[in-house]
Amino acid sequence: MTTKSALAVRVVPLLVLFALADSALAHHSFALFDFKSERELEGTVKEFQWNNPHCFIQLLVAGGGGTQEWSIEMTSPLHLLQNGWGPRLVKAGDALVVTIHPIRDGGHAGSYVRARTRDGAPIDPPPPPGKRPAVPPGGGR
Amino acid sequence: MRSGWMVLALSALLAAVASATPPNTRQRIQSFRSLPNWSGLWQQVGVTPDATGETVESAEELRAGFLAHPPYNPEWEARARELQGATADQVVGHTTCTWGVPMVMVQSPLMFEALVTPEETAMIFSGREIRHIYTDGRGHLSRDRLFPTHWGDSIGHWEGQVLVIETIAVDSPTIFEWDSAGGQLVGLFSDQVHYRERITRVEKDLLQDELTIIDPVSLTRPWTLTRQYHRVVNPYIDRMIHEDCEGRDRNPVVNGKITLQQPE
Repeated sequence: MTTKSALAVRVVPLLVLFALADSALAHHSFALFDFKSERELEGTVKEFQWNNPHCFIQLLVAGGGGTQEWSIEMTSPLHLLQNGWGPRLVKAGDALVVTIHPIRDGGHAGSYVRARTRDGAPIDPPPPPGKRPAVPPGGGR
Repeated sequence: MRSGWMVLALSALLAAVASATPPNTRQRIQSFRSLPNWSGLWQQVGVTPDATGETVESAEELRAGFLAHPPYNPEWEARARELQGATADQVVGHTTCTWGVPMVMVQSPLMFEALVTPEETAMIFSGREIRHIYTDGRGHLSRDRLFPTHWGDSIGHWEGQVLVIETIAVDSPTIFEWDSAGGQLVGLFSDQVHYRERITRVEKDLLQDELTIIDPVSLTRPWTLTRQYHRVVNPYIDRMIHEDCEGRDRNPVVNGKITLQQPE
């Protein structure tokens, strides 16, 4: 097959646009989480996994059946850094109350929403200052 | 005698390397002076993530900015709808590590740097994707050497402060989506598709790309999308940070669905 004929038989699928309500930007869909519900977990950090492609807080939560380990998925290190986070903002042994969007399959996992210490102090750094430009009307013409 | 040939060969090699490297002539320095300064970090307006990975902008704002539909001819409208239906389930199980052209410009959370030189503008994205846009007058690769890649073959020229880019031979860009709750629109183009862009700085800290998709096979007319990129002015970050999927990926696709892998 020549290069030309190889090109000729190819069809180029392209996802151009998306409805972005309740969306999360990542290298995969966050549809596995229920973005319409929130759950609060109180526990102790076992590990803060600061790595690509996504970071995780591993939280030990005491419950009726004993202690359970929850996996709380965040975004990438770049986007966390951009929002004031760092690899040592959370560390093993920290006592936290973490709000998540729970995973739909009922497992011990969720998507990070916010967190605070047990005395109520939020751990999320203040958002970066500055005005964000409005989204331009660029849908297509 | 043998060493003489080696010296000759080495001299020829050095001469070839020297001829391929543009000397810093007065003309080249003047060219540099005439080019815009796009240094710094840039990020697309409308897809700026916060710590949760969600967009800072409102859904209404994003819909107003992004929703549109390609001007298909009837045959390709039907194909697009078919693909849209087919991917409604698949997208949930898809991961994206490479955006490619045009998605990396149309809708991507990756930061980028734009390095402008007289010979080339390189766009370096946080996911380590790089667009090379040659502006030294060379043409596209010849047809007998051309093959599709995620970023295609880009050449460009300057019209004042506007970088005009022509891109051909783009491989199928990776399909990704962020949420299927609101549905999605799938664009499907033929192998004849090519892209024309006009990138300029419309404000001090705002780049704009008018990206026109040209495909006489599937579209009734060229289709233009406008996207803007704001300079990242942020006390928390002052350099490019590496993003990749080579690290500890805990979201494998199992039976067509994204899953979350619990630690062992």
